[in-house]
Amino acid sequence: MNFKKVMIVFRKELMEVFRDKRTLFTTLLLPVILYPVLIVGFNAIMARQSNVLEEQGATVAVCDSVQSAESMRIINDLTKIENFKFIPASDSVQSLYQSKDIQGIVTIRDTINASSLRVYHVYVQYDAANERSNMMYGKIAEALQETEQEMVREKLEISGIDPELVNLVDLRKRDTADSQKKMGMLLGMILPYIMIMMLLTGASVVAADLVAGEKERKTLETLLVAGVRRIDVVIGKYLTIIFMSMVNLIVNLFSISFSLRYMLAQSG
Amino acid sequence: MISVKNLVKEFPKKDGSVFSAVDDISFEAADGEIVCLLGVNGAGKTTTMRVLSTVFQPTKGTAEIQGWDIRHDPDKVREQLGFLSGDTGLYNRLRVHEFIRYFGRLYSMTDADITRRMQEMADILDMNDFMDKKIEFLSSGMKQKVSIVRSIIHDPPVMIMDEPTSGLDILTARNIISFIRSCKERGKCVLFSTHIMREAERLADRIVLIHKGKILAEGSLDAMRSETGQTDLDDIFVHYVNLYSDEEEVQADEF
Repeated sequence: MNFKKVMIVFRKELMEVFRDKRTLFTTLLLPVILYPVLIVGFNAIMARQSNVLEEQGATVAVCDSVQSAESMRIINDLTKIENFKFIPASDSVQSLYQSKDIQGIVTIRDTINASSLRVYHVYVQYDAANERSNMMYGKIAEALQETEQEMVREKLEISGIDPELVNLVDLRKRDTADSQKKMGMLLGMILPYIMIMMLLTGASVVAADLVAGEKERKTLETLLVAGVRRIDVVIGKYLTIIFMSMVNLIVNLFSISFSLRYMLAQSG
Repeated sequence: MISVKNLVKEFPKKDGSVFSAVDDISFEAADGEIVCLLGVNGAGKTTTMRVLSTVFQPTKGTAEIQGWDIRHDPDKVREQLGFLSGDTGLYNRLRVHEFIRYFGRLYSMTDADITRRMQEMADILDMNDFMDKKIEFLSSGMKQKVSIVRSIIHDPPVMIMDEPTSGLDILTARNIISFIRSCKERGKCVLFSTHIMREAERLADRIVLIHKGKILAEGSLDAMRSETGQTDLDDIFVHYVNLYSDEEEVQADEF
């Protein structure tokens, strides 16, 4: 190996790479644009989307087969959810659900349990693959939990039992990690894989151009008859590819770090 | 000088048999001499030249360039020869002077030597207007001049040119032809290949007729004329090809 000739090849290949707009775009500019757009943009879109969904609300059919004061109360609490519309269930309720005119069907039934207490069963039919229907389920589950807690509290008071009895053990967590540390842990898990992928793919455009490109543009023969050993050409080209792949990785990591920092600052 | 000794180059075919692109050829080219490899497309001209320029390894036999064996000292051989072909590509993203300097450096020349020689060649070939331009913006005539300077930057004693005029217009082709003549004047050994009879007629001191990987005839044009009784090189070529085909047929009849 002639190190001087390796460096001649290396320097010339780098000069060519930095003059190729296509290569510069894919290895340097694309990561700079891509990650901010992906991370920041995607987050913003997600937040907007869930706001829009909540504003849209949902239409839910209700079938109360109990018709007691308590079931009425459950339904009454549900109607307090903002932007939700409740309609009484009719015969066509399933076809309305199929055609997505309504996002869910709530059915209330009751049973008597072993302790002779009346238990209300609220069946919620929803479509987990549909964002709006999913949102509806979440809101209804939240409202039902609050109603249940209130009902339990009232029942306990009537029975002369201190409602605080249900909260004998109180779990409180104190997390000493700030959001930056949590992000660090998450990145620590995925970054090694991302880095391996980046090292492999980052300079693939350069590698294709340096080897296949040389044959395609018929410059390979010229190079092979020149006063240089093949091993020097190979090592020179290899160094170029490694160098570009490192540059690509560093640019990628900076771009990811910048985007995440921005995102953390936004979310507080 | 070039001396080719019983050179054979075989390529494996898909059905497992071998195809002899060059089949046991021997010839010599002395310093200050222009030798032309003349043959139709597929005769084995390019393969011969690629073996001589160490791009391919020979299957059997060998050749010497300035006394260096192409098998054992390919690096030394490459230092001794300049290679030019009709369709060699150039690095489009480099400027002309950068491109030439790159090859000069690969030939272990000093930067001062490269600059001096580049200026010399640029003056001769009238290239001073575009030495700083990127190669992608050059016309094909300009590109061919760049190729010429690239092939001769290290002042090699032997020039190998594979169909150097193919695909070029008349004016550019004339440039090449005068370049070949000037090589001879400077005492270089020149081997060039062509399928254009006129070019061989005008340039060659000696002609090596090659057909289906074999040498049919070798000698000066005058010697060939007197041997065949024909005056036109086209007719001489056809004469030798017919002679070869007859021989083949006779051989086939014997079995």
